[in-house]
Amino acid sequence: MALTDRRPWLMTTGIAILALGVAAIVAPEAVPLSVSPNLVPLVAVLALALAYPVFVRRLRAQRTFRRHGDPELPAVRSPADVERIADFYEHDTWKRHHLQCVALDVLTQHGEYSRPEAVRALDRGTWTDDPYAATFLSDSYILEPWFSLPRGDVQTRRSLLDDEYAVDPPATARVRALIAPEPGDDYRYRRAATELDAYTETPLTSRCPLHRRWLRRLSAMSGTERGSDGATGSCPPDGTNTEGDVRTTNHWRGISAVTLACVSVGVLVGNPALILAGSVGVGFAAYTRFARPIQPQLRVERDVSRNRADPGDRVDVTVTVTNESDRVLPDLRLIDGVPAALPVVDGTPRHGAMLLPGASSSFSYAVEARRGTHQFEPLSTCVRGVSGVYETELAVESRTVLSAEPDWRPADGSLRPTDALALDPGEFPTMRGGDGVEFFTVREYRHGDPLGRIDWNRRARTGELTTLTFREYRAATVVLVLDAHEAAYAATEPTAAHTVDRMVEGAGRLVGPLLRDGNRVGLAAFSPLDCWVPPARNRTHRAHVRKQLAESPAFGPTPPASELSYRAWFDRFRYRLPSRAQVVLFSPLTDPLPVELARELDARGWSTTVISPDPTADRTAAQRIAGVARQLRVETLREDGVPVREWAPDESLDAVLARASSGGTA
Amino acid sequence: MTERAGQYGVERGPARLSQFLACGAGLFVLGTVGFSSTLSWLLALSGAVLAGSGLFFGRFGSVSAGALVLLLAVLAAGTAGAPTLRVVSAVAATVFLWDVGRNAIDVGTQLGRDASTVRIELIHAVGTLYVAGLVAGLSYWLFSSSVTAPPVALLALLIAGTVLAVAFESHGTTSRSG
Repeated sequence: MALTDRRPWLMTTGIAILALGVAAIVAPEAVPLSVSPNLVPLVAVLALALAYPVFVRRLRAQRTFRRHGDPELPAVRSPADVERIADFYEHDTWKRHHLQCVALDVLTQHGEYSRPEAVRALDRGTWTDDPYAATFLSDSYILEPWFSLPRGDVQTRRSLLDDEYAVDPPATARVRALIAPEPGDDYRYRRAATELDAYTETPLTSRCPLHRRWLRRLSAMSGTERGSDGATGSCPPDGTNTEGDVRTTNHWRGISAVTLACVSVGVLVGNPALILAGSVGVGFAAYTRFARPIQPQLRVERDVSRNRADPGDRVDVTVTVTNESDRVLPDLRLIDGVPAALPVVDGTPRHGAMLLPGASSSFSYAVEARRGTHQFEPLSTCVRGVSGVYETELAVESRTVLSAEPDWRPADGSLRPTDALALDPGEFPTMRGGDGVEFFTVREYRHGDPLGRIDWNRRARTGELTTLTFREYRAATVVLVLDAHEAAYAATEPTAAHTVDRMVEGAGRLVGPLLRDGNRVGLAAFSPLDCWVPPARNRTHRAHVRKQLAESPAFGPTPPASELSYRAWFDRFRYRLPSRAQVVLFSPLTDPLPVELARELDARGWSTTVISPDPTADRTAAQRIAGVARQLRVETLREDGVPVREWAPDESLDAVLARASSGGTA
Repeated sequence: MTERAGQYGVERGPARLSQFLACGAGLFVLGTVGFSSTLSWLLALSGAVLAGSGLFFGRFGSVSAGALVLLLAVLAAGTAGAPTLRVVSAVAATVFLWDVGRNAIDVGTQLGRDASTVRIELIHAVGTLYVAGLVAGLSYWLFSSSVTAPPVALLALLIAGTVLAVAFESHGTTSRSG
């Protein structure tokens, strides 16, 4: 701005005129000038007019300060984010269209409608009693022009918590709804989502052949979300400092309007009090003018109560920051870099401090250890002067590592996973008696039975000829495939264990019983990171598989950074997979890829069972819709003949298998 | 932690000490200039309510708007002939509220309520208070001797005030990356 060049000149002129004015008051005789009194109001109005652009500039000036994500919460996403429903499509008609497609699928599968009937029911609103849901999904209803869902701010990791759009809205939203005469479109959207969710509770009724096309369309519209938390930028090597980013906060922008307004109104009205009051504004403007940005020199030490813990343990972290420069740091704001997968359970990783040169300040908090190896991220600091005009941001590195190995609880002795998982009956030991090692039963002698199998003891006792039979013992090959691509890292709530953790623990516990039953067990990861253990059955195999589960980067605590290329992965997998293997796929089914995988494996002759941990919740409309979409995928797989065992968040894998082997379909 | 904070995550409301100080400043303005005239009473009340709601819910816009309306209330009171000391201290208090109130929201959003932020809030508030007190006191002392002034003095003060305010307005530097 040209004004900045003239600023020193302006300043000196201003001070000179001020001196003149003061002299005219204190010693009127010394200043023989006289001006017409009418000039004064004119200039006053001009000054007032000058206040206007200052005001406008203030309005437009963006107040800037660093907004950080929530390091307190683990970096998991709700399935609603994976489905991209929460910040889906800015165009409101697309949102409704998406919900209409979901509704059509739900009505044809769970309602008594055929496809054309479902379309008519939606349009007329006869599918539900709720008037708001009914009108919303009808094409004849015109959406409000300002209808838009909040942009789920994925960067702040709080997008799971859109309280305002929760199905049970908080009191303020209810009050707003009371005042507004007619519920808005967002309310109708919520009601429609609730009604659809209620529909999926009813059992499947019709089998509309056309629904598959719609389901594929629905699946095509969902996609994986690239979640990314606030980047901390490039980090300097441990301990050293680089220059921080300096930024103006625009906190004091517009203070001169105070002066202009007070002085001009004071002059117009003739009240010297207001003119005096204007000097307050000048004083503050000068205060901010002489602010300078600070470049801090900091040293950070992070102390962890232990570096190796068990999952679920509480680990205390103490951070000490020392001011190594010779300047006072009056306003130092610190946010510690809690590892992405760990929740903070006590205290807070944020701190504000004022540091004299050489002084230090410390704060502490506690995290809960989770499976895997976790690297602490650099400490984020923001330094401001007393006036707060400039803000300097700096990231200080201090390398700390926390690791936790999953504890494999001893497997339940009565677990019979091979029966429970409904693997191909021709492949694994059945209830038939035949050749083998383990004694099974005694039957009547048939002509042709080998002499070595005759029960001679019984022949000696009773004179009967009977044959011993032994349990057939054929080795089956089972490959456990764990879905660990980026969409599979989901959780019901931010502090709950995410699905990959649950699947790793479940798979680790399943390996023992499978091996004990005589099967050969292999392991693979459905992820851009490679992990493959060929099926085998030797003494060290269980330990080897568990080691891979615990240490492989494919099953790390945070989602992989790269995207999975399905076709390349499948082509590689299919050459490794033995031809008579059976696949147990662990997957939360949060996106269409694992559905594709299960169907393709099944179609190509590898018998597949899916164990699906359920990551959906029903606190908000978007989460309910994500739950509905997942339910549709489960039903698709079951219709194709792939058994799907659902695994609720509060259940253990033993309960799932027990339910399955007792004959349930869930 | 989950009991104290919101259901998840950090309690991000405005920082408590600064909230308290800003509310105090708002009440001070209401008390000093609120009773000069009906207009100033109305303006001061609505300004205080606006700023108060901005402080409670953590909205920058409301706090700024509230401060602006309070300033208008002071102008109205000055027009109605309020005493000098009241007007000057009320303007100082308005600027204090504007600054400390927005700092409260700032700190609350960045660090949350659970972190110990009393020191940094206090330093900022004390700095603002010091400047306000200094300038208000100085100018009041300087002019307490004479009430009327010749037009040339007024004009000179007016122009000086305008020029200095514009000259001092900090446009700021563009951020340099480290």
